[in-house]
Amino acid sequence: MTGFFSNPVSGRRSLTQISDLSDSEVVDLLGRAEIYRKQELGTRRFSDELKDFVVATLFFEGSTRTRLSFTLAAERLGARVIDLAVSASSVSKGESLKDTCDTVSALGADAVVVRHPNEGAPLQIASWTSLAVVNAGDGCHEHPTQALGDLFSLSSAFGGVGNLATKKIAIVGDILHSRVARSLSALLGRFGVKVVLVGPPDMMVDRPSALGAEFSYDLDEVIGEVDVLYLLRIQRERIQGGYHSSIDSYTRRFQLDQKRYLKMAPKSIVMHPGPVNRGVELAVKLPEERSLISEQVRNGVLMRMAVFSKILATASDDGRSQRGITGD
Amino acid sequence: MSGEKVVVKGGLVLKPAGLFALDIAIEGEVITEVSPAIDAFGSRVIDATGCVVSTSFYDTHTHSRYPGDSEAETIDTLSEQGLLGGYQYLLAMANTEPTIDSVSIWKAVREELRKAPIEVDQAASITLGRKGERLVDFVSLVQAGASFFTDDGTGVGSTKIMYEALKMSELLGVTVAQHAQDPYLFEGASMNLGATSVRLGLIGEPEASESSMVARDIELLKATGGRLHVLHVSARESINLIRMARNEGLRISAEVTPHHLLLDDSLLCNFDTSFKVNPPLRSKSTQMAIVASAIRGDFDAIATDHAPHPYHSKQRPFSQASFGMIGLQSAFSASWTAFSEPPASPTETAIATDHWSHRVADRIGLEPYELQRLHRLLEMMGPGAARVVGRRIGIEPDMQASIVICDPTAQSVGKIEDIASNSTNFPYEGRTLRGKVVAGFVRGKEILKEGKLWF
Ligand SMILES: [Zn+2]
Repeated sequence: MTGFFSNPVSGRRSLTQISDLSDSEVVDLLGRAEIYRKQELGTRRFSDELKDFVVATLFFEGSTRTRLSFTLAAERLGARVIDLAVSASSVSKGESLKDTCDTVSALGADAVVVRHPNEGAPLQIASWTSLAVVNAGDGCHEHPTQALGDLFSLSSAFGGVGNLATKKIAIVGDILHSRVARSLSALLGRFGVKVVLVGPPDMMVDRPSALGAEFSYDLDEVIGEVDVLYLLRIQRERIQGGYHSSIDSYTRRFQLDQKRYLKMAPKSIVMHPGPVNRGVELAVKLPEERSLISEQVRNGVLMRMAVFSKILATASDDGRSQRGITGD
Repeated sequence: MSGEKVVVKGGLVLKPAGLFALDIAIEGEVITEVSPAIDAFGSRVIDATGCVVSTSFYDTHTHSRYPGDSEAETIDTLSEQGLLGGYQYLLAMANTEPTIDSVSIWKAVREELRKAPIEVDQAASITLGRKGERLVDFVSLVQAGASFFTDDGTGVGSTKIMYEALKMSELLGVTVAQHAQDPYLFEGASMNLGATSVRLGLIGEPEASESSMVARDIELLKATGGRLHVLHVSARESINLIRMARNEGLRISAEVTPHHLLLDDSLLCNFDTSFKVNPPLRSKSTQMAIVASAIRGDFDAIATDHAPHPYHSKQRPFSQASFGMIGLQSAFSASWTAFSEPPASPTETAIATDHWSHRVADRIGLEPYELQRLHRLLEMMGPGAARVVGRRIGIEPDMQASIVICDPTAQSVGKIEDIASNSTNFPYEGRTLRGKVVAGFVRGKEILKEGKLWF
């Protein structure tokens, strides 16, 4: 099966991890996002492309920003959005994930956007139900739409994906627990971007090569030679919860401060998935042309529109008519 | 049907030295003759052409789920799968609800298991409630008849408790079996540590979690005497350690499961909880090393670690789903499929070049080296496994007529509908397996015919 993970029974397509996408599908998503950007610059901020569709958001873990980004993306395409208020407690109470999703299905949702604290949950939902599933972050596994939006930002900043092949990016932070780092490594590697994972040893994955990346424990060693510095959000709770590195030792070695900023290559840029912990991973005011951080938020919405459009609108052309045909 | 004589003709028969073209005569519950051409006049003939005839299988590692979880399995469904899989004997683990940790529970459970159409023996736990803190009353349990002790499901973490358990083993002449797994290295893990766990973002367990405990236990065994059985070996270094200990003359035995022979951790890439098992499926290279050493003869037994779970305990996020797979009915096919995969090694081809082995192998459509592997496999499923629990079985005159007939070249596709379990955590769904159990006798009674049960 190539391309979007597609449910053999319903024919619905899902985006659960970067490997669900072929290279040409990624390029197609970038193209769609670009169209939405142009529409945004013009007068058509809203369309009725997904007029008859219902998108449900199912966040088992709080993240207002991500949920709003998905909601806005769906609404701008004219879809109805319903939010199912689920809490982390329903997960810990052992309420069956499948039961919850069957409810979503029964409510008539076409797609469901899932954020879940456990790795693999969106993929499992996609195989247990007939829903089209979009992974909005699952534990330490992946956050594919974030990575796709970031690729869109990078592509725009460097004048097209073709120009990314010679670029080098350092992803800095708690790599071990970062779903963004996993999705980004998988995605950027395909376009020839050299990825270096940077963080203290206790925040590094066991085998960085499994993510197709190099690694370093020393930010100062790599900071001068990268085109992009991607700072991850540091979870204070995680550090205080028994990690070896203290906040102090982390900021001493990995914070982007004035001194490190000056060591960066002249035209290099800084990215961050947000929200930024000022004073932890970032402690310098960046000039606008050196930061993609607000651009990432804007592009995140456009890319999520592209994902919905590709999953739902195209499904109604070919996917839906394919329904009932078994096999792949 | 007393007085009826049955002759099994035309098969290749399992003997300690190899597989030989022999006929077997059965009268009543026993084998009366094993020789090249038995006169079948007046007897019922079972045609075993193209098949191998083995002793019935022994499983040293079954989770019966009795008492406590009839939703996962009942004694009836368990027996049915066992008999369909060619087994006559199952050893039930002690991690039930409640734990089998006292004479009264052990006796009550054993009484109930006696009613099963398959022989089920019951292990007792090593520590009370399998908590790893206090030993069970070994002396009374042994007096009551228990001979196999294990906390399976978890390893005995405390060195002191394991030391004391092995001393008991030495003193009372019983076997202590270890689920070797360091509790600290295993903490939070739901799969093997490797490239796949890194990509999936799941916590992985290193192989050293197992091998470090095996190393410790071997040191304890040297200090105490006793008899140690290492359950479901899954780490490369464990195999080396066990081999060395055996060469030193220590009383140690080891088993390997069909799933660690056939499957590897790349199967978890889609978070399919059917592949979640403990010890976890390892890397492809470890899996290949395990198969090679099983073929070489490093293991005493193939054991199923049959672990049924109701569907809802598997239909959960990966890290929260239960560990375990069902595998009793498919054990021969899965193991034989695994044994069929590696190409012949130079040693294997060197041994079997003579004209005679070619002729024998030809009879059932195998290569000579495959015949040697099949012999090794059947040894581990039958006589080798029986030795682990202190029994001697074999296809010889005057021995119990419990035999199983397998077609090594028949293929089938794994389907949960064909499995007699209450549970569905079956890892071979849709996978083509080689080899089929087609017929079987237990104590002279033909219970399995054309792959179906008759009793
Ligand atoms: Zn075990």
